[in-house]
Amino acid sequence: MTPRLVAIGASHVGALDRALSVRPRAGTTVINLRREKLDLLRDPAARASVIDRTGPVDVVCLALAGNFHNVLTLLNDPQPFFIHPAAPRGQFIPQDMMLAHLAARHDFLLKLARCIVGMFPGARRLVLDPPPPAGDAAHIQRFPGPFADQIALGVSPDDIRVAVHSLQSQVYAAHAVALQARFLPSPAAARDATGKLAAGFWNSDPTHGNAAYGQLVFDAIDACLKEPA
Amino acid sequence: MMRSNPYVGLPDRQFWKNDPGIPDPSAFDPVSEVPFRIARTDKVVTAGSCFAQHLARGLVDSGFHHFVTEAAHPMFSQALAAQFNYGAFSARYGNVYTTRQFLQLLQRAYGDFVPCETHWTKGASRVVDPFRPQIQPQGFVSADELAADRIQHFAAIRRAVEQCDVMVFTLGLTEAWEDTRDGAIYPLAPGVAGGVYDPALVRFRNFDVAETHADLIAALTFVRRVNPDVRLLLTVSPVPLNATYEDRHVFVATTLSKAVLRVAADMAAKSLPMCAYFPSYEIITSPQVRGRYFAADCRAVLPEGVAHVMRTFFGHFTDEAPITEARPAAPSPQADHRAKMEHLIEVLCDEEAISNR
Repeated sequence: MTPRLVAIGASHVGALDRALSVRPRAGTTVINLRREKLDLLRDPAARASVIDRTGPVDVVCLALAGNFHNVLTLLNDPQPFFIHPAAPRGQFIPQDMMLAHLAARHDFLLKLARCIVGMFPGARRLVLDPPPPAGDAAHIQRFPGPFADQIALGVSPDDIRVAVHSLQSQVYAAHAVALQARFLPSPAAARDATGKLAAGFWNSDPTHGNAAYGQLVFDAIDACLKEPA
Repeated sequence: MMRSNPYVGLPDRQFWKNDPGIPDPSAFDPVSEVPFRIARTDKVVTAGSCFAQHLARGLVDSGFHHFVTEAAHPMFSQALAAQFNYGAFSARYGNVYTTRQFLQLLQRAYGDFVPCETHWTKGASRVVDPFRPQIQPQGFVSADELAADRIQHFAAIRRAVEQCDVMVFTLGLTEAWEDTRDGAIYPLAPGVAGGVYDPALVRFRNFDVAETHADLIAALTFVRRVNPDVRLLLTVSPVPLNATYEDRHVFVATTLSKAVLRVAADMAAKSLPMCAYFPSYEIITSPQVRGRYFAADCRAVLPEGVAHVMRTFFGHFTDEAPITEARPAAPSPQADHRAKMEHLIEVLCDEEAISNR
């Protein structure tokens, strides 16, 4: 029997949505809290409406926030920095310090995540790793989105983008432990040799994954669900 | 007219019974003439034992220029920066307890001394810097990461030494652990906060007056060589030893250690130009204050004691009143950049949501 699945999050669930539009899946609901302006933490009616929509589910997938690494490293910082193992460039920052910073900036998500998994008692819980850094200078120039005025700063080097995303992934993995959930890393097949999102999976913007990426994530979810809980 | 004895006419401060600190401890002021002043704009470097951190904080809180050359990246909060020991001293060297450690710190920063020990292991997968083993809460992720940090650290030390106007060094201890292979001095014994204690590789040292003085002079001369105009200010930490490796009571070890440091500081202040001794040690430990500046553990110095020290310091070494009201930090272009990026990411995520349905 196909498990009933709900994926809840912000803009990164867009890749899952795009995948569904290409290849529909039975029993799968994608809820974009940002698009639907749902405040699940503070609004009981919003929670009730989501539960009404999904009905009972077997699996709840969380894809909350996920773009803070891009705040730090999409474009060059005016005070350049690097963390190990990226190449020296500007100020060295200890990995532990960057990790602590990222953890502090994601603390608020845990409360929301606990609220969401609490809406689906008994469901298996998955925390989805936000996609790795996407785009190169040409792609971001072509699809700058709101960054058009900032492009002159230049796109950060790949190694620092990947290194910071990798630390951010550790934060999401720690959240998964706190939520008694399984952490699902971004699919290895979607990465290029540098660890970035491979070009075939870029959406037409600087940071998100496309339908093909969403499909790989669904495949990873399915593979995960075949394993014992 | 002849004086009836040589003490006639000398200042009150030279007579115990005339000291105003006896009836009023807060009036205790053991400072005499000082050879220089410190302006609010002067770049002041701090180094030394843990008590030096109080001086650094006092300078910052009073609107003076604690010259920090190894600051945390501006993306981080002050609390996080403090957790990783940025800003406690001018560079991230941690506590520098002995004069030999101080001398070797300078020599290492300038490449004049390259110790054979590069790192100590901590637990299964971490490493620490043997020369500042507690600088990071969990150590470094690898020897390579520590090496990258050390390059930046040494550059920051060089900038601090070369560009400062005033250097404050607080002498803290005479006891240390020495590498038997090359004489490198470790602030903590291996095994305390990383590394493995191997009696064949390290030995205990308790530096005497001659050694402490020679190392202090060598260190200060080193500083003067690269920064001839620097004003030097020496203090001795009033904080007793936490532990001694000598087979005697820790307080007896403390009195010896502080006496050695006090003598070395005095000899240096007398022999070097523009070098002063500031008696923070005396302010905290004098009978006049009747022990009231020590916490219940008889070791930690209470804020009231630090305030007395700083009040006395500013009274003699500065012509400008300390600023006590909080000053809002000026917004930096870097902070503006990150705030803007955060906003634009929000906008992007909103647009992404709109464009897909």
